[in-house]
Amino acid sequence: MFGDRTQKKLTSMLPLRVRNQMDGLYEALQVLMEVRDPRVLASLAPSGVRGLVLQRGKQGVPTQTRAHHSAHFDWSYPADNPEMRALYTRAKTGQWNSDVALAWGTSVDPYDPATPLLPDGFLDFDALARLGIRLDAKERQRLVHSVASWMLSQFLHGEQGALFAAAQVTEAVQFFDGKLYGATQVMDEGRHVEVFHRYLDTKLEKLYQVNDNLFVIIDALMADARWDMKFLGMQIMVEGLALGAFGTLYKQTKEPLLKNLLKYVIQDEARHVHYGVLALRDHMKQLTDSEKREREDWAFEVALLMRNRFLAYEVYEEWFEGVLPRDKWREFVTNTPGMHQFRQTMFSRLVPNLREIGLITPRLLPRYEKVGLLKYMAGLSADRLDGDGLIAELDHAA
Amino acid sequence: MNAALEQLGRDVRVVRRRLAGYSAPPLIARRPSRASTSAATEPSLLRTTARELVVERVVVETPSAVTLVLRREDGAPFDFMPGQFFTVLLQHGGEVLRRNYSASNAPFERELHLTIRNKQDGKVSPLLCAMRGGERVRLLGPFGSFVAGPAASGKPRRLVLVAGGVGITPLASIARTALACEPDAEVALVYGSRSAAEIVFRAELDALAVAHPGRFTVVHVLEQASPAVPSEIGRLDGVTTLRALELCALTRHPDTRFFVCGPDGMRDEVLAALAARGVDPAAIAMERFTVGPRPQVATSSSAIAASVAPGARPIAIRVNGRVHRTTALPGATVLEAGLAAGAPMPFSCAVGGCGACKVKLIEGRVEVDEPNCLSDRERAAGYVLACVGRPCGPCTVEVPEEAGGE
Repeated sequence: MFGDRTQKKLTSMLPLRVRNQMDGLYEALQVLMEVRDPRVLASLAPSGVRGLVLQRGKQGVPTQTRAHHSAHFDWSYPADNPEMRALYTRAKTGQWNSDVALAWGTSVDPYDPATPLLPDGFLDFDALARLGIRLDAKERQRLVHSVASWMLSQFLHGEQGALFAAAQVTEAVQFFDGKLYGATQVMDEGRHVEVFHRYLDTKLEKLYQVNDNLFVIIDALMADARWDMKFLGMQIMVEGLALGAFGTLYKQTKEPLLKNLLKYVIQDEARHVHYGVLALRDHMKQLTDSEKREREDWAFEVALLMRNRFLAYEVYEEWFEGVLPRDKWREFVTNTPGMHQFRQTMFSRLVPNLREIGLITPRLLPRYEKVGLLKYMAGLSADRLDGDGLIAELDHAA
Repeated sequence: MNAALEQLGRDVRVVRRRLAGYSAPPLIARRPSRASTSAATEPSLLRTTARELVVERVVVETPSAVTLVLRREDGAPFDFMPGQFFTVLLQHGGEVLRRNYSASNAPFERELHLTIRNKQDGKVSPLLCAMRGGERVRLLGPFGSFVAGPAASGKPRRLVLVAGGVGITPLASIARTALACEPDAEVALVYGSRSAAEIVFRAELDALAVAHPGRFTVVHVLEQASPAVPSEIGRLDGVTTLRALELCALTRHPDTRFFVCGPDGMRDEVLAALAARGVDPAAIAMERFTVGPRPQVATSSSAIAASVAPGARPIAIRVNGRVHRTTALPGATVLEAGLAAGAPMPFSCAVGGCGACKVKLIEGRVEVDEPNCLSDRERAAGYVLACVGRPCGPCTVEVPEEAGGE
């Protein structure tokens, strides 16, 4: 296909708006072109088309996705996984009522400098000025409000995906103790949808559309018939990255209601990722080499999609479409300090988990290295961290 | 099949739109909130859209207070937070009068109870108190942040409520809701009235104490002693408050939150008494209901003099990115001048009680009638209330973005 330069040359003659759309489509194509394993391509391509090209998540109507998994019943109710049973016990006692736990009466003023949603310096306004966009103080505050609302909107959409995926996983999983645990996770995810939506709706009063890359991941997970792929996608990739993202925001925000909300959510999320590691660690050892290779590649591709998910194109479309080329925005967001920090923390949570379940093999190392993810290999995986430990670590770092 | 064709149609439209260079809208239009506090979260809609309710019945509470029991035409329950108030709109002699009344029942019932003290010299309350079943009332709301939020970290809630006269109404809603919905909540009420006959909700309060033994205590403070009601004797002031609080064990609990509602003078004395007991000011919430007809006495005579000094005052009002320029006559409020010039300024009670018309003063000076509902933080941030703010000279104000009306 075309190289970057050829693509730029070909599209430079088009009006900016059309050029931006071409940039988006070209970017989608690049993501799919990265896929080396034809089986991964076969499983991701339909979702890629639905999300990146047809933008099914942004069509203004509810989206229907078809599930293909089968529900696994066991009438003998085996006690088959003590670690999952322990996690189930922990999850039962860790339930919280969002009406009581969180002070919803808190008045949230996104523009109050005493309680900023995101810290000063999260966005590099000088870099934006170099691109010809100079914002006054009020516009800067509004842009920060938009970025924070956008992030939380994507968390909310991710949680909706997690809610349905957790329900599917509970049906499909082979461990009976895992099913019991899964029921608590369904409840957790429902609560997360509730609190993020309530915060956005009643405090920030803004809700963004689902990001195309995130839609692709959710769509692919919903459609895949294999339980372990749902696990890998939701428990390890989406939840793992969410854990990193929530942790970053928890550390950075000075808005007390949001901070407290994240603290509760993080403690649930730590259990979710732990569950994924428990379920997959042994399962991966039982797969054939070919099956394992497929999962390794699949995880890598999804990690790339997740990385692209954080480019905030929806904020760009709201603010700068028509005044700034899309690729300049991408460059700005990629390098702006706050988002850079976000990626750091997210992948430093994700990569150790992938390593722990055996999905980063010598074959994959060069590819992880090429996209700059190898440096996160040394961290602790989720089965060695719990919610309280995570919060303590974040508080210490803050 | 139809669904598949419709999906195909949408897909084709997306591709055509993108090839023509247009993105999908980045934001989702927000629907009316699903959250249980939705009442408090649809400010612009509630501030500007009056609802018509039917008077189901009128309950005479005391010789000077009645409760209007209202219901919606569609029979749906009411959604508000205990402690919030509604603004009643009453057409009278060519003008629309607005008054705020707190809900006195628990939310999510199919009735809304507004308890009203009949002020003989008032314009609105005599008309409302004379209403009969079947008549209709228009109202806006709910509004207000005098609400009892959840306790920290899931502990049972402990509330001490201090009410003077008809100030009982929001506190009755808070007490009824907490006792009904939270099995571990404990509530104490200190309630000052002129006489036993003037105790609003006396029978209901007794019934609540019987229904929730150990969780709900009432200490009455009566100006005229009555053999029928055990009470502290005297006006509800600093001294009687301290005596009454001594009788409530909850006062001494570190997690207790205090809610105070009553006439201005009483409220100040109660606050001083709480401070004397060493109660953390952050644990105290209070409600003002000073607003009647617009106060004619401003805090300083120079303010009045400044605001009625001769000469027109040019005002620029920024709303939704547009600037409306007009001139206020001496003594006219920013809101009056703005509405006369067609600026879509939000407002509700129009007497300084709800904060719906809050605007930011960008330039110039505006004298604002006191007391009003602005918080210290809002004042420090440069906000004034358009409905009780009178420009002293040329000025520029800005309607906060989320508040701009249509």
